[in-house]
Amino acid sequence: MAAEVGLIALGAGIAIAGAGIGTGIAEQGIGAAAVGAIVEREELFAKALILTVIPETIIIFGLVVALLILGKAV
Amino acid sequence: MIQPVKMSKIRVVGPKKVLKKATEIMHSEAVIHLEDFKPSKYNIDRYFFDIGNPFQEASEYSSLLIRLRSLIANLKIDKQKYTLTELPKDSEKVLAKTESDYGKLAAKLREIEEKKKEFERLEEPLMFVSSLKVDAKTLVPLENIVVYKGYCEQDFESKLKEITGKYELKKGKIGKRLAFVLFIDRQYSDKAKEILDWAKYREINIPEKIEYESIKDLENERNELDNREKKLLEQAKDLKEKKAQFIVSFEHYLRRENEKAEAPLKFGATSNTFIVQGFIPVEKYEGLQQKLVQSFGSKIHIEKFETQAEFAPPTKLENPSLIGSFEFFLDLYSLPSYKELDPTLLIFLTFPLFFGFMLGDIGYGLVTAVLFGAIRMTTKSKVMRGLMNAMLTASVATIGFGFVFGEFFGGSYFGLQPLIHREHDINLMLMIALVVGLIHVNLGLILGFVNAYRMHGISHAIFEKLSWVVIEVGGLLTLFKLYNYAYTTLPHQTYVGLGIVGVGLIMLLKGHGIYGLIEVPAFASNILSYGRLFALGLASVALAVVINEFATEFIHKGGFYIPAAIGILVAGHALNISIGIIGGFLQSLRLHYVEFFTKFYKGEGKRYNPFGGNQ
Repeated sequence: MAAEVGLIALGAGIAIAGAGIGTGIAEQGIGAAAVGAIVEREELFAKALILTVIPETIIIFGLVVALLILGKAV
Repeated sequence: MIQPVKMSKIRVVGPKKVLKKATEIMHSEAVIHLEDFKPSKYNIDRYFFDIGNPFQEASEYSSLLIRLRSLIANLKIDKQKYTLTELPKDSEKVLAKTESDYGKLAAKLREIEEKKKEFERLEEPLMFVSSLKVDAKTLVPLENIVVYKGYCEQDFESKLKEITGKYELKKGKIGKRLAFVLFIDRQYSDKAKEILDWAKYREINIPEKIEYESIKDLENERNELDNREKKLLEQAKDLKEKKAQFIVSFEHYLRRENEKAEAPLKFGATSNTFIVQGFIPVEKYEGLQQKLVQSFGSKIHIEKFETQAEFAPPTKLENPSLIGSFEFFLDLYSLPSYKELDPTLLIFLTFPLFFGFMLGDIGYGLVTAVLFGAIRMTTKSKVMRGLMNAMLTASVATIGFGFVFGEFFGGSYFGLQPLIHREHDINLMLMIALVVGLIHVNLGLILGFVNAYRMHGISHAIFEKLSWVVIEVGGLLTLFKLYNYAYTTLPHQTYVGLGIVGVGLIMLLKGHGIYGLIEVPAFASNILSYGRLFALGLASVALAVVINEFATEFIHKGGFYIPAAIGILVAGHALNISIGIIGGFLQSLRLHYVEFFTKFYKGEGKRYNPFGGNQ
């Protein structure tokens, strides 16, 4: 049983880690371009922010999945 | 509040005789947002209307302004720092005097600068000549003798001796480098050059005449120059301190005068009349009209007419001061256009709640309140003060949610009873976050419905915005049945739900086209996105608990560990708070910009900027 719980926890961890890495990869390019754009024109801040944070939802998917997996442990 | 201030289009027409006075009145009332007059629009006759000419004094004002601004730049005056003062009668003379004073100082400073550069150029040769004890005058080639002078990396005299004895060499060390002067018979010069190249010879240029005897002379003179420069700089600073207020005030005065003098460039004009067009807040019209009629009677014609969106009137937001602080978030994004709703009030209601829900800790709320309060007191920037007002309300919300979650710096001290336990009631928290998301997004859809109705009519609004609600209802019915949750009593609920979704999709296709269908999954992820409300809070409280446990362990060890425990508490919570502020601010902003605004907000409004309002 303990091993099972451990596997479940590992699964949850992988869900978070994968989603986190994915978010990071998605955001790196956008973020770099956004900073470049803001340097050129400061008023683009809000638009740049929006574009940069769009992939952030991915990690939340990861979190939700992790919580669903953890739910199996109880 | 919910809408930008209502505007009318205004037109003022009159004879040129009263143009100046009329401009004066409009400028001091500062209510008209001027529209540039476009002669081509008034195609009664192409030559009939033209753009007006600026008043004569405009060119004088402009040249004075240029002089003032160059002084401001040269004296490095920070305009924000000075309050305005009354101007002396002979302002122009004072300006001229200041300019000439500054000019003299600047000329002297330039002279010193040049001298210093000269010294820098002389320094090395002088050092060279004086340490080798040679006379600069003798370092010129003669008919039979070649002179090499400079530095090398290796001693080469032994090699030189192998070729000839007909030379004279003076050498010495300057710093780490080997300096030398070599006089040698011309017939050996080529061979000597080879040896020198081997020794990595680098030539030095020495002017024939050096005015200074020794490095010391030069240093002395340089010190004196430094002193003089210091004094001059002090004088310049004095001048700045004495005149800055005058300069700033004069510049401000002239800028306003110049605005008036150049205003006719925005007016239309014939040879004898002028026409001014612009927008005015409806409630201000009466006042201006009375003022103008009082001064000119029937000589001037004023009319207003209803604005239509096609005229693209400017946007003026009007909110009570605390709510107005949240206009910052619209400024950052883009002002609403005239016909749109002003969402400031809604941001005022939801932004602090989101922030508070994420940070949710009495202690953190107090710390951030003190921090934001301190910034608010010290900053001079108006924008920053507004932002801090907004953030203070967020701090209050944080304290409020701190009571709900029963948290004080991460722990339930002082007998705090949590209503919801953030760390353990994870599913409940997630559910709350998603329901908040559903409500918020639907609020956005309602606003979108109103906007679409006002701009494009009812059918547009229904197909474009209401279709989403239909899809939501259908989707929820299906999900409830599938997961056996909440409401499941409808017969054939799954199919009814799917049917409703289908109807919604068709409506959406009609309202938005294919693009709308692509948006459907995005809509679902929009609502899931509100999960961050709880996720950030969970991370924040988990970190706080870890910090506390760590410190508790240290305290139990006693003695030397107690200061360490205090250090951990302070540093740890400071870190957690700063993450919480940045995270809470950005995430909450994001939920508004990405999830909420996309449902209704277009933006791209012009700011209402009345003629003469630039104080």
